Amino acid sequence: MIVADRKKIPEIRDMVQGHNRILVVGCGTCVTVCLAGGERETGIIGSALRMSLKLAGRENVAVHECTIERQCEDAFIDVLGQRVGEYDAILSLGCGAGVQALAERFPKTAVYPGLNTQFMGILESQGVWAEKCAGCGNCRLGQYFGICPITRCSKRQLSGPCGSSRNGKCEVSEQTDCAWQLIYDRAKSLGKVAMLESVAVPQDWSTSNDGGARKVVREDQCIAGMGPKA
Amino acid sequence: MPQEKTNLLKRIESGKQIVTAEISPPKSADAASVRAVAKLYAGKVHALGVSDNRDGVRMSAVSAAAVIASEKVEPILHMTTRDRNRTALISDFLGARALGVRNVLCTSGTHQTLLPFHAAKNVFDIDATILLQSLHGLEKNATIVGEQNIDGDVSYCLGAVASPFADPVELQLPRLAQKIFVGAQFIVTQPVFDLERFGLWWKQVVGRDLHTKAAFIAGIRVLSDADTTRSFVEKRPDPMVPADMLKRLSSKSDKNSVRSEGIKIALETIEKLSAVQGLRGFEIVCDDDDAALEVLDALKSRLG
Repeated sequence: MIVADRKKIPEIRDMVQGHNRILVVGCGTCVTVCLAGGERETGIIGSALRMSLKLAGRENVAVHECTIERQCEDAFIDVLGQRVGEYDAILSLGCGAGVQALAERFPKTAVYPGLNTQFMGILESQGVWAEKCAGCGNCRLGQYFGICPITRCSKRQLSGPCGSSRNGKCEVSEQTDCAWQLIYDRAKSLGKVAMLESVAVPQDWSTSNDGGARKVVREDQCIAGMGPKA
Repeated sequence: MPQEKTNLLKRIESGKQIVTAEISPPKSADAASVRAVAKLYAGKVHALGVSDNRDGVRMSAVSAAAVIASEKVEPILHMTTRDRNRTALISDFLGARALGVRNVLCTSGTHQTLLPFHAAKNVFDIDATILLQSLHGLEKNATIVGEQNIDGDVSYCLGAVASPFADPVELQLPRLAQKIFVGAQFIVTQPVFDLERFGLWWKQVVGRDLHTKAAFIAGIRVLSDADTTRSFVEKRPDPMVPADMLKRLSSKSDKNSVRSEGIKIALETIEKLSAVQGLRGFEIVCDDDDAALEVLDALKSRLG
């Protein structure tokens, strides 16, 4: 899932304080699961923002909340419909994709991010989410026994560990596992350590964001005459 | 027209002991200070390593190495994959050679989050092994940068870093073997303090016969003050300084005695490592050039 965390209220207040009617929009998908922008958090952030604006002498600003099923898909944004016209700003508690989807859909309404979108990852333990995928567009997990060195090695080493891996941890932080220790452990348990002896092929980054903003086009799914937007 | 081999490569091929040192370019554009440092080391080393923004932003290593070369001291240009992509690295490699810099040490570099420029975006387009492979084969295959081949002159000497103290040790040795396989002619180890662990690692190097395929040079960091050493120890993960060494330095009351003790420790380490069969030499590293030079002088009288 996409993992995000909440921006601090003073930052949100500073962004929106020039507006008089603000709609805080939560999202019922990834950010609900990672407890950043679901219905519950939307209520909390809405209340905190009202208090913060009041303390800043802006108690007349109307802050209302609602949560839609999925901000990143136009069909689900429909439910906001006419309501958005009553507001001069939206505070989106969706991921970066959600914020931009709302901005595209409502060209005359200011849209602000209430979250910092972090990464694609998983729930590691209660309250802890960890990054797992960088979305490079050219998945090599098969070569690395299911552990991604592009995402999880701080130096994106494809040929093996750097010289600063100690006791299974990365030089960047003792809280971060060395991806190459994990790759080795897994290769060992699969009896495939010998596969790690060969020199890696360099990554072609043109399939990643380095190649420019990407689109996935499924011609078989496109409606005739309504292909990808230019 | 191919140029002749670098002195470092000739020395490697001669089978004789190799002595190098490593310096960091200044945090300025002052070429005169680079010249002055080159003069200090002239005649005392077979080549002088030039670090690449090792602990903070510095004068470009390519430029500093070119200034050093102009002083008739042969530089070893360090190239990290942290700050430049394959295009910039290969371009710099060609540019460095145009300026007379023909020994290159390929390394990934310390992660920028541990350095003053921690807000910088890193690159890590390729790792050090792939960099070595790319530089080594340019005249035959430059597809990594979209060219069939570039540059027919192969009169350079490539090196890599080895980590005797890093984990997982089961992968460090294959990685080292890969670096040699793809073109490393010399290997500089991370600073050696823990001789026991070094010995275990060396056994595996010999077991894979790597020491006959590249010249292994042991890194010797001169611990010239207690505070710096303590910060080394605290700053995980390297270098690994045994507690008794730290105790020896800390037991000295004044700066001069600490410095002398650091030099003594470096010379003791060199003495012990000199008994290691197959090890080809030493690279002296110290922020205090005078301390490094004292060690080099002692080393010279020892090697003759």
